[in-house]
Amino acid sequence: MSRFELDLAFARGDLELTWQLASDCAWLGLFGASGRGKTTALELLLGWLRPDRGSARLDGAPVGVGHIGYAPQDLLLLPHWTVAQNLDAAREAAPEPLPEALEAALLLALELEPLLARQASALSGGEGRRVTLARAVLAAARTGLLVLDEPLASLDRGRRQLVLGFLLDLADWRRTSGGGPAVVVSHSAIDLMVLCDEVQVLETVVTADGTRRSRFLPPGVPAEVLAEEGGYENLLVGKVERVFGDAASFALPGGAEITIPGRDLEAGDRVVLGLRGDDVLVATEDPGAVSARNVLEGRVATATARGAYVALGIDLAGVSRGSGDGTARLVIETHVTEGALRDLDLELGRRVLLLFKTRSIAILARR
Amino acid sequence: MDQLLTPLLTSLSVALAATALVAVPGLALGWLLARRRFPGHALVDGLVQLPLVIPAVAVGYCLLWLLGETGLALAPAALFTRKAAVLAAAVMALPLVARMARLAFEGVDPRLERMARSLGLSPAATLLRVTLPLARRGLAGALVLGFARALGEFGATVVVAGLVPGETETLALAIFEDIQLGDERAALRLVLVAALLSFAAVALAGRLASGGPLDRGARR
Repeated sequence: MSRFELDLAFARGDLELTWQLASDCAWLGLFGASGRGKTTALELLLGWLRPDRGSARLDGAPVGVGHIGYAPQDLLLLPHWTVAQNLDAAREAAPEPLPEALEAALLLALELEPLLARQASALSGGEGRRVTLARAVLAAARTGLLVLDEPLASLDRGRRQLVLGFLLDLADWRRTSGGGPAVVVSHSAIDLMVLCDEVQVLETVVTADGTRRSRFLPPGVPAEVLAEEGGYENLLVGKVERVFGDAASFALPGGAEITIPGRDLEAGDRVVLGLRGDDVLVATEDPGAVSARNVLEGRVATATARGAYVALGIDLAGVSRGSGDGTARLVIETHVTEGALRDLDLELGRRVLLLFKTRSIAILARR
Repeated sequence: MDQLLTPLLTSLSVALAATALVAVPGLALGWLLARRRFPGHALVDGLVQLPLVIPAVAVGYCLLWLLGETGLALAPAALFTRKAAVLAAAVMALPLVARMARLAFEGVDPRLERMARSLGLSPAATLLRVTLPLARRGLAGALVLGFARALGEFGATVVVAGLVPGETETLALAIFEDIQLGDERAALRLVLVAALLSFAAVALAGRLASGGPLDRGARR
């Protein structure tokens, strides 16, 4: 866990960026479309850019120099060195080496062996991205600040899975061994939800004169963002508990279990599940025997009219998210018609049951 | 033959010594101007550029005043020796070396230096392992141009070093003397040699500079 204390403003050209965050987390994700200021935010955090106002503090101090693993979009490999020399400089920088198994997994996932003897200036764009990612991981090792700008962009599908898998292993190791913080930028909210403890969404308003006014929202990924990316208003991240036949049980953050499609899964797999609001039914009393395998209890926390339907946010009662302080609650979004809302008397605070079929659950990411 | 060879050797040795003398301060000034913002930046920049535009004879006069008995008398014994010729050529070459070195350093992406610092390289290691290697072609070009400038130096040299054959009489001074004496043929021969040398140096500097701060074919 690291303490992020960010309160800064920065303007350059037609970009105005504000960033506020006070949070304890190990991996922070920054989500937003390209060209809105995410890279600028990273370099403000690193101290490469000076904010016009405010400051960025990590564990009580500005980010210094040394032992930082930054994988920027423009690579910044030292062009007169070979790939091996670039990686060696990162290894030298780290106070302790990456465990052998992890380093081997890194070299394998990024397929670096064939590149080692090459001059960095002679790499293609894609090759360079793999090397700069490896350099960042090696330099940060366990305790250093790790800053990854779109680490999964421009990787082909197969390698993307490999690299994401590696990053999850790395994140697990750093979390469990008291490692340092990481900040990851991506234009995929799903990737960030798999990898990070907190995700901040960058919201941009383009004004009439063309100024891009960007600010980071408080941590959390709004349902609209997820709906836009995968059509799933609900994303659940967690581990597969048991596999039985072609189904598996999945522990929701907080403890309740649900049944999900289990084909190709193994116990212990970390998965991201997608569930459409349209596929979640609401009942006000126990319906008795139903074919839907998943029945969860909760209370109506929010109700938002969205044209043809009303989106309800159902707070799963007593279920807290993660192992944190229990303030973040798991909310499932479900869609009902105005008529159903009236007939069932679904006012705020009302206790309800949520029902959804195993087959309504899509496995969006796994390893 | 000695009429040709002696001034040629004198010129080469004076220019080489002047280049050696000016190398470290010239490159350091170039780095300072390219990478550091400090109070008086513009003043230093202007002072460094001054010898490029002020008459060389005026620089020679300043040197004479600094060194000689009539002024500060820093080193009166050095006047009208090889040392004075080297010093005059060095002072005249310094602005060109600093200017070209500044361009070479500015050609190195400062983000690369930041990355090196982020990784944990010290400022000195960053300079030695990143900045200097990346700027090396431009810096070599700067020194070659400085050498060429020293080779052609006349105005300041004639004031502080005079025309001492085999000691201070460089190609430029020998040409001047031949013209004074009316020996046009001898002057022409020296002019041809000087032109050839200067052309070679400028061509080499150009070759180095066109390689840019990175190696050939660096970024695709």
